[in-house]
Amino acid sequence: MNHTLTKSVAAYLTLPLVALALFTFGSASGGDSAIGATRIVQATAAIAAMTAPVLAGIGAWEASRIRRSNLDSLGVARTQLEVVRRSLAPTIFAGWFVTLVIQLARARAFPSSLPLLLEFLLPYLIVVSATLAGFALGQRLHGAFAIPVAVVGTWLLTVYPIAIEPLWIRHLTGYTTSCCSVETVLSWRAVTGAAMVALGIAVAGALLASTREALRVFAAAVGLGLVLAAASYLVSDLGSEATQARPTTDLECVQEEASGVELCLWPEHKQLRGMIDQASDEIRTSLARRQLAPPAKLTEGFTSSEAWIFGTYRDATSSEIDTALVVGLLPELPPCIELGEYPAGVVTGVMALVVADYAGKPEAFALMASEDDVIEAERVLELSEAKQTIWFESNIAAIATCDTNPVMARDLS
Amino acid sequence: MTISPVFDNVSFKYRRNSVLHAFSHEFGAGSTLLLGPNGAGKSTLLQLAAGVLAPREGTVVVDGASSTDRAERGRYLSTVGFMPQRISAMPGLSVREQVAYVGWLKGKERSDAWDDSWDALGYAGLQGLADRAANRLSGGELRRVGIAQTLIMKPGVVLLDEPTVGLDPIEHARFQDVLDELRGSVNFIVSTHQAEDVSNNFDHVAVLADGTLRFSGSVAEFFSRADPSQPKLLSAYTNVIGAQ
Amino acid sequence: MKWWFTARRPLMLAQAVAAYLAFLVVLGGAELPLPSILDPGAASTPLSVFLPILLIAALQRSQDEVDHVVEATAVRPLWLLRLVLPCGLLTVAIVSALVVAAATGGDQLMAGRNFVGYLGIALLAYRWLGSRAMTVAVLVVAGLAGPLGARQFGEPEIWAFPLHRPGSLPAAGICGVLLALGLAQSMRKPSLRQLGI
Repeated sequence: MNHTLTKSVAAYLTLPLVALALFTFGSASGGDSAIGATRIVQATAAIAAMTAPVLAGIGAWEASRIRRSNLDSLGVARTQLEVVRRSLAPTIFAGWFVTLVIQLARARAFPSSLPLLLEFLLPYLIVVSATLAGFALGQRLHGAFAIPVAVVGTWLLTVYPIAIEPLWIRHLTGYTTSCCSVETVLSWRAVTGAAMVALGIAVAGALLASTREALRVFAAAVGLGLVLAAASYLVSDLGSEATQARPTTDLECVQEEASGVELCLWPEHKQLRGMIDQASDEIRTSLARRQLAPPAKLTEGFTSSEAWIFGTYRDATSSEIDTALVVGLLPELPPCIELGEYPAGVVTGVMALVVADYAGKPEAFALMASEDDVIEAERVLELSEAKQTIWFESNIAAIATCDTNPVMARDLS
Repeated sequence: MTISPVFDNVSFKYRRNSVLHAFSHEFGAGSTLLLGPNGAGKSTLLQLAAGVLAPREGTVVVDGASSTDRAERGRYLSTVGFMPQRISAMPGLSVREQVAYVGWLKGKERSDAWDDSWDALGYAGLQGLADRAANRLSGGELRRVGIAQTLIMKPGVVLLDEPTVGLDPIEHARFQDVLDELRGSVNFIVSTHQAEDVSNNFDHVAVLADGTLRFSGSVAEFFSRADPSQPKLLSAYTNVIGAQ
Repeated sequence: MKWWFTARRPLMLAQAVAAYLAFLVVLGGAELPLPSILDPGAASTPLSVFLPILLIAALQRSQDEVDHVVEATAVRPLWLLRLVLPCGLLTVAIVSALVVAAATGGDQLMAGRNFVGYLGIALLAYRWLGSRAMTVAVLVVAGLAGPLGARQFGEPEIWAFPLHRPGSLPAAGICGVLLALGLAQSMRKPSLRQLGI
């Protein structure tokens, strides 16, 4: 076995691969998820896009070595599968080692959900499938062509799907780039689909590598086709992202008995509770002077349309929290705005500035607002309270539809 | 002048491994069996004699022409025929085309190379396979293609590197017949690691081990090295190899 | 010379050239994301970086079953013949890149320039490491150029010539030097690696 290891090309490439992968992905930011979902997914993407093509090339190289040695003419006693296993063991172990190093370098904690556990194990399967697929290719094509086809082909099959439609096809490769924000989790269907494809390729590769019998080759092709169909069905209603909304049961909610106000935050943001409490109290007090009362429940994540919903991130400053809370007070834009004209579009920015003023946080949109919106907002705020109420209620209604003209300040002055 | 390779103080090494060091020897006329264990330097010696390799030091001369002298190298290569250990079947070429190609490489005009290839195939007993694709020959047939490639130039000396390795008894015997036909018309040196190849059909025996010549002489002189109580061939060989 | 050329699989070479031209027209202008060390965001890599490897693979294949030991004993000077295939493929790569780029307005000129550099690398690898290293050496250069040499904004590292835009003079210079070195090595007597000894 020692001799085999020292003769395998994989033994010499392991450390350079580890160095390259760590250098590429070791320092990339991990996003906002403390359970390391993003980092685990990025590690898998690194292995799929960078390590797998190299392993496929090594598999093709090993196959061409065996072809050159003309083993078929020697009356070999061992089965072809044993020969393949022995030949590829160093490559697969090297790939697993690289995978483990990358994962240990990036993951902050052990995966705490089943999809993440599957995602953690997925690259080990990708290593096996890439190596076997490269080997099967190397048995059938001369090494001069097999090696570049294995390397470039594996890379293309991994990264190209993110550039084509249908959108779900990208979820079959393990090369996920869209996970995860604090409000989303990895879809188990995306991980399972990618794992099914990897397993199918591994089994087909092993079959093709171990035999030239037409029936078995046909069985490998049919089997792989069925697996691809099943995996495609599993992911076909996923959009461009391999994520789904995070369960709101993860939210940590605290209710003040005196006021009945409830604040629900994701666990990753619990250190912001004090700042959010204070800011929301200030906003409620300011709005109360205008006889406006936001919902009692302030929450991240969507729990019901009656709640005051906002979104923030772990390192948010107090002004960013202010902005996030005020955004949560704004009316939602209707879906029809993407289909055609939206007359109320001219007042959405103005409404944001007015609401920010009512909430006692006039600086919330100071840097984002256009000059025209600022001027119109000033005109609105100069109107009498009664006219402001008319402006506010009319435009709240107008913003919610696509066929209602808004009320401008000049219409009321 | 005998057309045989003359090594004068030749040294050669592969990267850091020295194979020959200050090697000097003049091969005699007639047929020489170059004997020696694996790794002795037999193939290197023949490749140097064939002009495939260039000595790091010293010279190899055949018929007054040096293998490394630019002006003389063409005449040198025309005088020496070489059959390497491994004969490659060239893709896309028939047996006759492959032999003719070697003739063309050696400087013959295309038409002459084509005509002479037929004679060369005749020497090797391959005229019946002339039109077959070279990559569809058996191992023994490919070896005979190697012989034909060597003879197309009617060289003054023929070098054969382990020509009978892997041949079945029939092909082995057939190959020996080819060598028997060559005897007397051309000098040749045959290298082998198989002591069984020693026979009275050779004029000389040279034994190489670890890059040095342990014995050079007639077959009778070689056998005289054997212990009387031991099998003659193996004993002579072992005594020569083991001798300091 | 006809036998010399026949032994180098002309049919395979023609098929490889045809496939290369087809890919060049259809895919030559496509770009794909490739992870980059220097910038965490994905830089895009034109497929023209990888397409010319097909011609290098064909060149390697054509050399693979030739009896280099027999050719080493040739009286005829073969140094010029040894340039025929590389220069023939070079002509195909450059002319096709010019024509397709002019017709489509795409970046196919990159493929032609990259082939120049790759050919030099392949010929050097052939001399020092043997024929099996030709394609691998080119793959290593092309494969590392993206992760180590690409940047999301601005020009790639100067050595990452496969990624440079078609009009890049430094890249053209590097490719020219590599080609000159490779062709010069090709004209020499075969090395031990090339002879398979």
